[in-house]
Amino acid sequence: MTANKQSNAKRMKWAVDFTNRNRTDLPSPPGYCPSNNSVQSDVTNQTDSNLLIKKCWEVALAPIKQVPMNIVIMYMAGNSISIFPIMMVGMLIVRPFKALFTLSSSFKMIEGHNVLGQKCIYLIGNIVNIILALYKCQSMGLLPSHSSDWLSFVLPQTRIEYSAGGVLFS
Amino acid sequence: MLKYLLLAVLCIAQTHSLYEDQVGKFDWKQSYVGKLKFSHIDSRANIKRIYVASEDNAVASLSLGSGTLLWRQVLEKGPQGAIVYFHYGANSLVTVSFNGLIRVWNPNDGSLLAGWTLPLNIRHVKFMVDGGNFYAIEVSSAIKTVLVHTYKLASGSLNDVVKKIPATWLTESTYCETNQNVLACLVQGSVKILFPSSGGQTQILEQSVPSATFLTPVSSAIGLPSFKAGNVVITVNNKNIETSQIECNSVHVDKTEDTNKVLAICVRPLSKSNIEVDIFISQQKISSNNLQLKTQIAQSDINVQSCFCKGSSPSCFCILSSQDHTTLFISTQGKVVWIREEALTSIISAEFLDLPVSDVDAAIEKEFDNQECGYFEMFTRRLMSQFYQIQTLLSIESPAFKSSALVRDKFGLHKLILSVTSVGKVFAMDNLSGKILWTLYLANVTPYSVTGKQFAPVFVQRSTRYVPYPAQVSILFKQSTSKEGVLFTLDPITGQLIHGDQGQKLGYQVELSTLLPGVNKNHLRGILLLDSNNQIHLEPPSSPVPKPYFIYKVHPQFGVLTGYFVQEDLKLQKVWELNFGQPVVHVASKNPVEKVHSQGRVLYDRSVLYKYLNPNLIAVATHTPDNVFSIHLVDVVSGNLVESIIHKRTMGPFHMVHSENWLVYVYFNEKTRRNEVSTVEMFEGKTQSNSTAFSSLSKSLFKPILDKQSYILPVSQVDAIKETITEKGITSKHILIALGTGSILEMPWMFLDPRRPAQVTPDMREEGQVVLEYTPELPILSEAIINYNQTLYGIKNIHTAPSGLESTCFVFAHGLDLFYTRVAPSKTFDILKEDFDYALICLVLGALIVGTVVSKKLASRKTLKQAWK
Repeated sequence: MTANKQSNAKRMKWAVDFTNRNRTDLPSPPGYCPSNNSVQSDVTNQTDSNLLIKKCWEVALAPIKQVPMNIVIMYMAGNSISIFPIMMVGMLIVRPFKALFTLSSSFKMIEGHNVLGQKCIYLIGNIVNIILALYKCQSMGLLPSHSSDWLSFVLPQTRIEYSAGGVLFS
Repeated sequence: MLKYLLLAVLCIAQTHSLYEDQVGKFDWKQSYVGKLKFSHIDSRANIKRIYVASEDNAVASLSLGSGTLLWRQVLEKGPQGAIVYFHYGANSLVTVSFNGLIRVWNPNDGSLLAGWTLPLNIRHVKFMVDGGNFYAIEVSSAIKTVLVHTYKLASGSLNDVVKKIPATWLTESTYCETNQNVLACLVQGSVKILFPSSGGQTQILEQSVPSATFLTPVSSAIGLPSFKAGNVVITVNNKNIETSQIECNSVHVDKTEDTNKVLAICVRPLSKSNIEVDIFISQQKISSNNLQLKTQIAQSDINVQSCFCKGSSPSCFCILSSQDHTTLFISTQGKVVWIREEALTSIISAEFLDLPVSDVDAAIEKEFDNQECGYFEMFTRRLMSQFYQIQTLLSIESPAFKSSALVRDKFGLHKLILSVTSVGKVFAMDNLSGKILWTLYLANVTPYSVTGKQFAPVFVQRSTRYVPYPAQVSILFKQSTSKEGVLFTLDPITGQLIHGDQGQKLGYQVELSTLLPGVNKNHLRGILLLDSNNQIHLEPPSSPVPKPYFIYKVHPQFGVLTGYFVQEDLKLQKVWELNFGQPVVHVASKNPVEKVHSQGRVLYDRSVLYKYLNPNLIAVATHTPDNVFSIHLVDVVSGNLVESIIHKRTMGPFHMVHSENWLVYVYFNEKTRRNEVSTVEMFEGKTQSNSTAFSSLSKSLFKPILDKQSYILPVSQVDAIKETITEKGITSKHILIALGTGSILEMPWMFLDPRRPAQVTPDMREEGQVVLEYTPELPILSEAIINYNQTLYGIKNIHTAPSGLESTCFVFAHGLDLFYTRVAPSKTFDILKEDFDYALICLVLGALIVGTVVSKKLASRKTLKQAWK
């Protein structure tokens, strides 16, 4: 209770109420022209959509732009299997997948516009990244692409003929 | 240099020897001497001992009270080392071997005091030791003289001129024997007694024994040379002859200090585990005792080896040896002091058998055994088994828990070793302790012989897994007289014979026998027996025969292999024949219980080379008199000769192991004078011709890829080789090599691998696989010797069996010593280390739990506090 009162008191102390002031008779601030309002908004709308498309292309091209960087990272990581290269490869492979799954949300801000082209580019860029990551996995030997990786699943051959015998007893 | 260093490091990493505190933990060794040939009881010394010499060429000393081995010396193997003369006297033990070596041993510790070679042909020579002299007595019927050569025992130098005793009575059929300082000859119904060691004039005593056909020396503890001729025992007492009539076969002559009378001890077998011991003084039976034995012995012939007596109403202690190689030490007052099962030196077959489940588990299994019973019966069964469980839980002493010692453990590490010996004695031993659980003597049987080795097939028809049914094992022998087969069927847990003492007489000569793979409705695997008329007999007769079934026969003398197809009516139809024209020395087929987990081999470029796992493949080794040794790999279904490998200038003994897709064999290279190991590995190639089934008769016949390599085995002699085997075949395989030096070497397959490259390139190493560069000589590492410092004499064979754990394999080696251990070729990956710190891990876990609880409490308190701020 006391705390509530205190806070009330504090509020009272610092509260300034502008509601009971009359604003209509105040002159407009210098340089403000209410008639220009609509024209200006038209211009900003125009530039906004240009900006959006530009932004959209930026988003779409980001994965492709990453490719050279990724190649460099891959080269630097080397082919040995240890914790850091594995982490890097993991990042490389997880990021494009994540991006693919959040494809629609990345292009959400441009609602109503036709961004199919950008989406395609974005998709291709991410796929290129995935392919790169897979290539890295392959060269590191992480992909079960060899027959030896499936060897433990090979079942023993069943025998069709049965045989027995040996040296004659004497 | 670097290469060898790397190899050495790899070797050390590969082998895993025992720690000092693990000695005797998983292994045991039992030492034997073999069937007694000579013995002497030293009753006068402070520490009473028994000195023995055996048919297996061992000289040993046994403790009188317990029969344990005090020392043992093993002489040369085979007939060359056979001990022909044995003498104890004046702090030395003298043995003469058939190869003419005379050895003098220190009786206290078995050290060699002197050893020299007799410059005579030993065949017609009798021996005698008297004083410090060694007498070699040549009985020559050609020149009608007895020649006495005298040597100094300690040095072997000639001591005296050769003494000639004229003996005009000598004929071709004269048979002579020595006993102590007396030579006795049986000449046409009379025994002539000579004293070759006495100087001057040679006195000859004569005793007429009209009905005598043989002459045997009779043991005597206190220096009364005695002989048994027919039923008459002749005792030479101070150059006088005393005779006594004895009706029993086996006899010992003694004289007690008190009575000064000659007494004779007779042993008569009453049954397999019951003997009677009688003492006679001047043909009067003064005592007779019945002895109950804890083992079974042969009834035919019990030999009284030696005795010593004391007291006025004489009580004697005797060593007996029976036909089945058992050595008994008994007191004539009716007590068995100890028994030594010397038959265990002549094991010819051994099997590891599962123990039955505990009675509680058995009750549970019984509960779910019969699916077709009604609800009420099921309910009563459930009640019964639960009542049983409560009962066992409450009282350990309940009758159901009686047999708890012989139950299967969780890891399948407790098993029973069933061993069959060449004398017809069967033993069951506990694998953990080496204790003999039961013995069985099978009378009038002899083992079969296969490529020069004695052999008695053992068939495990039913294991202990099928609970209401007892386990069943059959042993095949042949009758000594008629050579017809006898099948002994028994329960391996109790040792009870099913068809009685005489076994099941088959009534035909068995040429071949095998265990069938299928089981009948009683879970019993059948035995297929092939008689000499190519007729198939099944035991039990209703056993299912798999289809299609093929049988092959190997005639070892001519080197002829014949393959037959088993028709519907169980008639044999000849399919193929191969004639090598050379005597077969060894045939190696795969172990039928073997499983192969990995179907291929991963190469360093990560491709797969598929193994050629032909279940019908055998390896036949032939050896010609001009020392050409050949190995033929034959598919026994199609008769297809897969490969022939020829080694020139080689000598035996040959040993071979055939397992998975490889073959290892050992031979002696005569050209380079050393033992060599050759390995062959077979592959189908980079693709499998048929990934689901293997047929030897498939149309797309291909030739497997063979890799061959030879290595030098830097040891003087190899006694036996065997591969390790595990339950699922996941664990890598090692080869166990019994060396002539008495150690068993565990050689990883990696070293014997025929695909060891000549040069290891860096990308071969990269894959994390261990690739060894080819080096011609195999390393003999002391860490890889599984019997560490316990020397095993005369290893005849090694048996391996899988345990319940995938990592572990049992090893049982037998010869003059028995040795059991377990090996883990890929280390014990499925078992916690013995020194695993249970306390520490419990402590850490407990601390963590406590920490979690406490910190949770603290954290909640802290958040509460923060909320109030």
